Amino acid sequence: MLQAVDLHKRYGDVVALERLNLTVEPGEICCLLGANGAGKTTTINLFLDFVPRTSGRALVCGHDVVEHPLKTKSLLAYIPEVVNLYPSLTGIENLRYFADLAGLRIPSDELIAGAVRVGLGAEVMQRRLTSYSKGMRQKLGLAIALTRRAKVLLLDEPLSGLDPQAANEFSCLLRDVARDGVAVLMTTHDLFRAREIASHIGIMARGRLVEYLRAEAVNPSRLESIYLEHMRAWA
Amino acid sequence: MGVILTIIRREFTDWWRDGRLRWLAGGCILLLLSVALLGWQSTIAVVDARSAAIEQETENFLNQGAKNPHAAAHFGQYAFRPTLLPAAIDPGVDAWMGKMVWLEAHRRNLAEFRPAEDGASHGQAVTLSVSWVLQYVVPLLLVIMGFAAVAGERDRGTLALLVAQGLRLQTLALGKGLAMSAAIFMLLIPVVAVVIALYALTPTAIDTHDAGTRLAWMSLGYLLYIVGFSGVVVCISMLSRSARTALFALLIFWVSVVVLIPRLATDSAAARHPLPAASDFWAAIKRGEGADVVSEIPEERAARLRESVAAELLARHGVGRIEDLPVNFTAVYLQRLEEADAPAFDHAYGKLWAAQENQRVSRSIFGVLSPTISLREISMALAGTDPFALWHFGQAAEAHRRILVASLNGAQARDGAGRGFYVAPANTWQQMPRFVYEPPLVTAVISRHAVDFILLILWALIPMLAAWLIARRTRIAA
Repeated sequence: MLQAVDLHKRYGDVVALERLNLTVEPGEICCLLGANGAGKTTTINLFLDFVPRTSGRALVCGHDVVEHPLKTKSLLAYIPEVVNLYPSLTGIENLRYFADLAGLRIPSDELIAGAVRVGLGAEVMQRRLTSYSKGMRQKLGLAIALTRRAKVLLLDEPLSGLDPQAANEFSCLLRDVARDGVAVLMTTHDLFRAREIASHIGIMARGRLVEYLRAEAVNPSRLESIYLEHMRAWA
Repeated sequence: MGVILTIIRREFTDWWRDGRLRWLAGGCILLLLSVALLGWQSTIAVVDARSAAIEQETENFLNQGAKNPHAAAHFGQYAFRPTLLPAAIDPGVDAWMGKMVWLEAHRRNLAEFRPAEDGASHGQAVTLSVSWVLQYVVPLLLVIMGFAAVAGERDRGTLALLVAQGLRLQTLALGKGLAMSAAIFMLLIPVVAVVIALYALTPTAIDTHDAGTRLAWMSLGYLLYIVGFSGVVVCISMLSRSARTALFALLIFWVSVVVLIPRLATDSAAARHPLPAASDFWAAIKRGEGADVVSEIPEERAARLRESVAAELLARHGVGRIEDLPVNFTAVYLQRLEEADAPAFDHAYGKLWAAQENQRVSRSIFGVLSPTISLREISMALAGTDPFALWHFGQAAEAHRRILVASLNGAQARDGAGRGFYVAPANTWQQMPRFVYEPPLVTAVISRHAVDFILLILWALIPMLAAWLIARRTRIAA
């Protein structure tokens, strides 16, 4: 479970995130929407303890990310907008590297099975990353997260730059991951994809969570209207 | 530990698959092997030439036949400075120091036969050495291998991924630094193996006197140097916003620390503590500076001494004529002249050595800014190729010269009494003392360079501490 309690971040006079209260339960996918600078990535950074919070708390499975950084990091996986990994290594070597760093001794066939699950064939996994498309690298990032058996998945605009087919495949994979009981927090600009895969949608503007709704409660066009209304109001 | 090994393994895979680094490492091994072979060849040549020369010189001295002992003192003999095995690794300033000293009556000579004066090709052979590659090229190789250690991870976006999954930046930095150091030591393995094989398989008269201990201390110095450089590379890579910035900063660091500061240190030391000009040096000795009697006219000084020695001997033995003395007057006088001149030599050579020593201390201070200076001083001292090695040898040779001349004069004074010109029998020379030289003990060398060693230890530790602090303060952004 992922929980933000009055989570606040200020850079000098600029409020990057204002008293965010948010809970993502296991099996839920929460998509954060918003313009650039709305506070989406700051939220991810605070859950990763990449930046110090000003006040409030960020909890992963009940553990504070600042007080227990190693414990919380062992419970979560992170996929950035662009998963570059190590181009000189093959897919399986990248997967093995991250598993080894996490202290997991996983047999190769199990690693390949994890890669196959996200749509990367055994043959593809033997190739170096220089030959991978962006979609393939995103899938490999997801395979790394699955290998680590993370309870929480943080994704920072993972669909950006993916072609529609790749984005669709990736969305299906995320739903599969959530069904296994993983709490997923994802930032995106893609309203329609968010509506399609999320269980909950948060709209952020100027560091505030200005709208939080169940995805099934709105249709795509209604979601777009709500989003645009907030953007105009906070412009 | 498992995590660090994982990082090291990945670094090695990366370097192996990066063709440029493979070629660079291969080139470095070839360079090291070439200079090791050159060092071995020139060292063996010098050692063998020295052995042959000592044999010839001993034969010449022993077989000079019946002769006046003081004439034999003028005939003189050479003392040859030994070449230690580590000199093949670090020729230091050996090429500029002189290999042998001419021991003769009345005069302490400077060391002769400087290979650097023998021509450009020989000079280049002694400059290009294993120590040169380790001191200058290896840090550059570390820069090229490691500039992207952390900055490259940041550029790629993998740094955020690594930290997000719980890898501490300190662990990453340690793994990267160890990988770099280990890679360099692996490059050295084939070179060390070849050098050991060469020395083991080649029959030679090289002085292996405490070579193992000297090489062990040298290795420790180079280990500290490489570890320190690896640490600095990781620190700058961590502090840099991009790999390109890190490379630029590290190249400036390399040029400053390895090339410019050592040069500045040498020039500054030479300017602050200039060595006396050769003409002034010999003029001071001629004047008798430091001796009891100082005179611009040495002949006058000698004449006064002759008169006082004659008066003293005549009074002591209660005779009126020099011919009636129970000792050979000329021999006693010449020995007194020798003893009277000795302080002038001690004074002039002492001043020369003091200037050299002051230069060394002055250079060593710059070791705070450049570990290359500290390492260079330690390395050539342990190799026996620094000015101290020559000074130590020169002092021993001078002590022997004085004993030899005193023995020859003594033989003439004792056996030549009442004879105008005494000719000693041919077997006299076999009774004369032989020159046996023991280079300074390793402990003496180490204690002389304790400050350099302390600076090298700090050089190795401070970047590690800095890396730890930088890693703690570094913030990652998604």
